Amino acid sequence: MWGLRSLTVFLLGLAVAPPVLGAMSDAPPLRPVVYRAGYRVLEADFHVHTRLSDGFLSPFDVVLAAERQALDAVAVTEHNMVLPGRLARWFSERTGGPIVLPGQEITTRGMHLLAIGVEARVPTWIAPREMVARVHDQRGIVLAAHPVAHFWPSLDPLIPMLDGMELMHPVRLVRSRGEWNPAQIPLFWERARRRGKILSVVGDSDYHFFKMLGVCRTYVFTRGASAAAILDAVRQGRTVVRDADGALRGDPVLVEALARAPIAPRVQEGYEARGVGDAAGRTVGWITMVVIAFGSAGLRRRRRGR
Amino acid sequence: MPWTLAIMLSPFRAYAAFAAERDARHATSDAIRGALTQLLVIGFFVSLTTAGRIVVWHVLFSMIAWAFAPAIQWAAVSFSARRMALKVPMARAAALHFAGMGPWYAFFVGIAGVCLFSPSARDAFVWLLRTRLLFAIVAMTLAWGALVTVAMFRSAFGLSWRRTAVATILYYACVIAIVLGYYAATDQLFALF
Repeated sequence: MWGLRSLTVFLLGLAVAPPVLGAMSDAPPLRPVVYRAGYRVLEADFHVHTRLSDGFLSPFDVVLAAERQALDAVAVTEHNMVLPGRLARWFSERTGGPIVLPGQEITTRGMHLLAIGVEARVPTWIAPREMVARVHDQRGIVLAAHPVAHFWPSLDPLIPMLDGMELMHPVRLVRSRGEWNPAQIPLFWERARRRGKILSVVGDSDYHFFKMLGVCRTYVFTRGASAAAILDAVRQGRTVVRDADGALRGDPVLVEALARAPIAPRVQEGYEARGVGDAAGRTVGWITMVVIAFGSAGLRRRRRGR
Repeated sequence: MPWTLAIMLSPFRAYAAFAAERDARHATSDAIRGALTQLLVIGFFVSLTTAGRIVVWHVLFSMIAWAFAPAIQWAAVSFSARRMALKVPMARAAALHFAGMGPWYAFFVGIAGVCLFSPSARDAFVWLLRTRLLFAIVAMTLAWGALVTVAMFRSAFGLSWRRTAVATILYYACVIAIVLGYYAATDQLFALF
């Protein structure tokens, strides 16, 4: 049996080593200042959820995760709520994090719309046209979220009013399942084009948990690194997305500019350790988790004589 | 053997012994420790699955953001016990309940382990989804957790089988009602279900 001193040292080690080694290894990657075709290129994720709905992370954690994934901007678009986005923006402004745009995923049975850059919640019991109008009244933008065919009946009347659509979404990386056939998403862009509307394209992660934040992202060609400049760029179609097949989609001039001078991918999808210290720290952290989970209620004493 | 593990592996026998050994004098401290344990495990889980390492801020912010989870359980188990005419303090009910979180802790530890130690977490989870194994694991965790809850009401609280069944159903009905109530109040009910 271990002595009390050895046990104390062991437990202290379990408690101290993981956060110390984690802090040493968790330096966020550099977000280089990138220019293409005369514009400042920002990498953005316009579709993120938090713990106030069905995500895992608090609004503050989303900011930290966005920084880790080298995103220049992120829109927190909670289901029918704007508070999480405002909380995230408050935190990011005080910690020097990425640009945070408050938003709302206007979620009804018939459609999901991303309202980006809004401060006041848009109610869901009004007519869809009125919903979009209220977003525009707040100088925000409206994007069709994952526009599979299931949502087309509700989205079609709104096409003239939409600012853009999610062309790239993680669902396009998996096979078709039920109502959500990912192959239908690019068809919505064609649908809008035939109605005379060229929709701006974005790529979003629809982030809920794990390391998916920014796995699909948008290259936004802005006139400055600010929320207003981002919204302006999306309105004017100055966005490029890397499609499921690896090809660049968006404004032809900007696609050409990126194709000639590609931007190195920044996203880290996997859980690879950044060296021996990181590997040791996270292993010890996992062991600490086990010890806390199963040890904190105490030990069952063995009965004498049995 | 740790109590949490013993209760997980032999819920009825271990819960009776646990309730007998841990008297009501320590109920408040046991309940608080149980709630903090749950929040720490969640904090570690969120940090490891989000960043791949322990980040103090992820742990702390997650503990705050998920504080509703043990609070709801505390309220639900206390309400269920009281409705069964048990004169048990709320802290005692909560302390006994938090000792039975083993199945859920095993689930969190396992998922975090897949993220950290599999050669490719993405391939591992795609395989788990494609084979429906992940759904089976979640279902098994839910069922195991329910069995432990039944054992708590039966062995730790000493209820009859009929009242144990009523108390268990009441507990889960409370939890589900509170969660659905939150989503309804924030106009997310139809968005999510």
